[in-house]
Amino acid sequence: MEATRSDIRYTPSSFDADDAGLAPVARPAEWKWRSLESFLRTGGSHGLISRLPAFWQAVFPMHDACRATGIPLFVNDPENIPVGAAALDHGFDAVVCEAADIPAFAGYCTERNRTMPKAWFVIRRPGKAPVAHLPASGLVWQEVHALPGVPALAQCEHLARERQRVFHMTSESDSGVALHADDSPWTLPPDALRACGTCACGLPLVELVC
Amino acid sequence: MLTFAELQELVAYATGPHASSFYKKLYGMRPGDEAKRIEDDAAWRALPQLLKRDLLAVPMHERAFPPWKNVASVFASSGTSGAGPLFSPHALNNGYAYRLRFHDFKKATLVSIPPVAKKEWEVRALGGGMVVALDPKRARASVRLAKEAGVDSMFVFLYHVPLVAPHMEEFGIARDIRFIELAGEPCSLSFFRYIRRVFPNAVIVSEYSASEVETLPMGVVCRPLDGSEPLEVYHPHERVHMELIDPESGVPRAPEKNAEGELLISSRADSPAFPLVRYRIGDMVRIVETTCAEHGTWSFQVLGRADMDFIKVPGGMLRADEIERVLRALGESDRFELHCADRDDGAAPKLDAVLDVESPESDLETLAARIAQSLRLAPSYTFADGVARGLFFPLRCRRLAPGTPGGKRRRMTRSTT
Repeated sequence: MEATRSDIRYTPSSFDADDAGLAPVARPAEWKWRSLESFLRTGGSHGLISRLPAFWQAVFPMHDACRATGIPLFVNDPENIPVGAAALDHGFDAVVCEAADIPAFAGYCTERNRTMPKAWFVIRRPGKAPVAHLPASGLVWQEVHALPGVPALAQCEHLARERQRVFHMTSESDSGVALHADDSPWTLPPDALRACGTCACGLPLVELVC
Repeated sequence: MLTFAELQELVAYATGPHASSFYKKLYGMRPGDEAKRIEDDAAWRALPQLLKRDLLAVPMHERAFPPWKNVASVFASSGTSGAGPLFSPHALNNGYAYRLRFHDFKKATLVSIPPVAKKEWEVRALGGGMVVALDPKRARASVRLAKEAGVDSMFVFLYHVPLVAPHMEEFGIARDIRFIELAGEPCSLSFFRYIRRVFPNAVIVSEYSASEVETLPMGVVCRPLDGSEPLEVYHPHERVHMELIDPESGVPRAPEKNAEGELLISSRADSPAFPLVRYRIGDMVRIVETTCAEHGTWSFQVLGRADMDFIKVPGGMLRADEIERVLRALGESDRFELHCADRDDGAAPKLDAVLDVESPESDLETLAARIAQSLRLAPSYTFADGVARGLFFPLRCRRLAPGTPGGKRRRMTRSTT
């Protein structure tokens, strides 16, 4: 039975807005971004700045995660770095951004002697190289998204504090996400991951092979 | 509008033991003082008027009323010339039940008015369906997602309409749009005609809002836009209190028919992140009716900014201090007047900007081109970029006419005809 419109949210099928095959991928509206919630609680954050493109439609589960943790959300146009940096003087101390955004934002804050975020939630796209330069300071929590706003590989507090470049599989990567029979569930190619032991938290570790 | 009893509660709340120290300091109270009680209208009017610079002087996290977890969203708006942005905290609250008069929202809604996630919360509170976020820099892709969602309504900034309209026409869904709510800038008649042409089956309404005001909208539309003047007529939302004042002296004015003045806004949401008490919003209005037949209170139209030092345009802002900077950098006098209007070029209305400058010797056409190349509307976006993207007509320069001796020259104006 097709879900009602209020029960689903759409995620774009590509990070590239110009992708000729761009299509919406239906996801349950009740899905919770648990890894983001864990990040907000673990980092003791007081306010989250989102620097993700609005096109991702990630603002909705992000808002839910912030409400669940009692933390305000400020949505910053990624191209407007000065306003995002200014928010760091108004109670905001955590940032969610793509890996490629780190040099520009951190660089701006450093050059102008601005307050730096104390916690970073860094999203990496599959097929992209690991983040070359993590922020010099603060908690850095990384994850790999299969689709915009859909975590495939996530980290726990232990991995984040150790700044490890390995991950845990998420439930999305195990089973895919689909509401309709004709939607293709997302999966990682079998040779994209390499098992590499067990984490201190008890979960298996995987490494993303590029 | 708020009753006097509600205003008494507002002041008591704003200065009570659980409030932030902001209003206590503004009113010259000491930390341990009891909550302020106003006894009559005179005492209310004696309260200091709250200015933007008062808000800018205190970081948001020191200004916000506890508990911090009530702050769901934060808006950033332009500060005063030379100042950083003003951050305004908002708790979750919903003043949009009136929308059901016009639409049921059972299908999908495309949204660009922030906070977008709150718009989803509002729509679902009305029993509505899906909300799709519009990314203005990826409008085509956003409209494509919205099409698949079965979009039939939009809450968008006025200047985003030309970004989405061509793609909705391309995808064959423009005629499916049944409801459009506009915000951001007053809608000119030419802009309305454009929207009506592209979206012939849509009810078109406006909301009067400001990022500093938590209880949105401030003004509720009295009737949909239908091409009759004045286009946008509002009445105060029941959760706000509005006063009319003289913009020069700050003296109250009676809201009589055709009276013009600047608005003072007072508002308080349930469990507010920051209540407003007598805030000078900076907007000039004209009273349309002293008693709106349907809503029982006075109605008004928004004329523009009282002391305009910026104008919102597609992609950014035209700022007075930025124009001054560019003129000085080009070796010109920094005195100017900027006149903006929407002009129909046969497709969508485009911004037509004329800059009056004091340049006795410069070639005005060359000067205009140099200004356009240097004039930043956003960190990486100039006026010339906007022209190249087809959003603006090329900037024109004229000689500045002599000002009225002793008079105040309005530096930036925007026509709504």
